[in-house]
Amino acid sequence: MTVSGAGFYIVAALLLAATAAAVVLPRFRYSGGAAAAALALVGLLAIVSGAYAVGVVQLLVAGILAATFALTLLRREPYCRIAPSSPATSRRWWIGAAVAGGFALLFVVSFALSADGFHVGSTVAQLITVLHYRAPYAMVIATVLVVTAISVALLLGRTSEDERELDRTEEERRQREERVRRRREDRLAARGRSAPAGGPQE
Amino acid sequence: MNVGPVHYAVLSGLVFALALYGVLARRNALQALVALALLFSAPVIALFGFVQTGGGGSGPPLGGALAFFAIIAMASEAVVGLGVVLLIWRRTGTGDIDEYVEVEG
Repeated sequence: MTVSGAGFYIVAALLLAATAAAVVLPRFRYSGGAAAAALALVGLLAIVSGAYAVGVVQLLVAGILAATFALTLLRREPYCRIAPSSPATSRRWWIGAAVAGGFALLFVVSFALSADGFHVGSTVAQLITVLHYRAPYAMVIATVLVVTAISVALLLGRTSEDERELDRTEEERRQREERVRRRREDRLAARGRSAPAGGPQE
Repeated sequence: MNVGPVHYAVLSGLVFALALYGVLARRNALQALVALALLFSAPVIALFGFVQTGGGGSGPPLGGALAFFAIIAMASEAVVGLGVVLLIWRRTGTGDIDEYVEVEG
């Protein structure tokens, strides 16, 4: 199958931009959005390239993951405090940049040198044919993997009753301390206002 | 202009390198997890690209089947990783990876 050059280059440029934004932007809200866009663009690239089944699965997975992360981390108390609880980027980010740059150089140079070595066939079979007729067990294994992953995630991420009680106690203590702090500040402010007026008369 | 297997290979390599930078340089566990999901997506690009440009020859599109599995593995890694991050955050109260070295069971 011949892949459209314009479509490929447009989606590839958007994909690289979204991936770069996902790993550089400091706020999780934006970097997570960029990552969701990058995952969706991989699906779009698959569809543009003609791999419709892979593209649809990738788009579905990207949508489900984005919704799961958004619902868990952006709205739900107390998990919405995870993202701002630490700096986004490490102080030794340059080590990561050097390693990633080395890998990028290695890939680009080796692929460019072996550009003529790629075998290009003449026909393309359909993925559905393979999964349905030649490797039906693949579908079964994938289904088992998904069910296991969801079960493990729920098992790990669940909140037991004593943890909920602990969270409630923590939240109440935090609110109590906040009230005490505000009251103290109000008292100090009131004392500061009343001091010049009620000061000693000469 | 036609697009060949090498185009997909280069794009896949660049996405892999960018995501690797995110995994190594991010200090927040959630952002490292997101970068890891992108890292898993890089081979998917090469796999379906090779199949669609005929890199697999006239045989069955096993690259497509592998891409399908890579997507499932990426989704599994993301949800299990999210569960692990939530669990550790409840124990430590921080999303800072550098502080996880002190976590004990």
